[in-house]
Amino acid sequence: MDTVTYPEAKVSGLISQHFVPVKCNVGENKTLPQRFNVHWTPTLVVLDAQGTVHHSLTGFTSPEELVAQLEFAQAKASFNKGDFQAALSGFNGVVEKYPKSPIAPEALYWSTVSEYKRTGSRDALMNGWKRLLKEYPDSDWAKKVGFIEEK
Amino acid sequence: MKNLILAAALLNFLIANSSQSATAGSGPAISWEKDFEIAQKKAQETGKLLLVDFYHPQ
Repeated sequence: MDTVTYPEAKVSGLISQHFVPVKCNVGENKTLPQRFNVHWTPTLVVLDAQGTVHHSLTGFTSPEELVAQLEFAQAKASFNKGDFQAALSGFNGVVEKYPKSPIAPEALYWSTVSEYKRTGSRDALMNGWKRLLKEYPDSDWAKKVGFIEEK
Repeated sequence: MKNLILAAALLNFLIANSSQSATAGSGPAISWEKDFEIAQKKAQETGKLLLVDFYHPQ
């Protein structure tokens, strides 16, 4: 990560501007990995100042993928705070900018839920989930909404 | 002759370093915090999210 992913301008720019980055050497610090249930490296955890974890990922991540994952994490934090407008915008941004990212189907799922939470529109929920089934039929997130096809 | 060799070595050093920085990308260097509590305080003050990189030195 230090030699390939972090030096990329788009990664370092995003992290420097929007996050407080922390390095934890698991060989020296045993408390923090235990607190966040980390048993393998590299693992990245995104949390807020209150200690609520919003997203995590394990294993090497390419620069392009890390940017998508971090933008997803920002949107998820907004969702968890109840700011559904910001969440919607963030999740939509991930789907539009990184449609081939492994996180895109999950972003589309939560974008749909954000819109439903924001407007209460059942049609918006169904339309978003139908789009998920159409665009990412083999994803785990499509399986979560597969029940709508049976109706 | 000795001066010429030293100059060549210096030139090689400068070229090697300049190409390293070119491949490292042009983004700002990430300023990693080592102390979680200090980072948490910074996150509180700025409203930013914390990104914790758990790593094992190779």
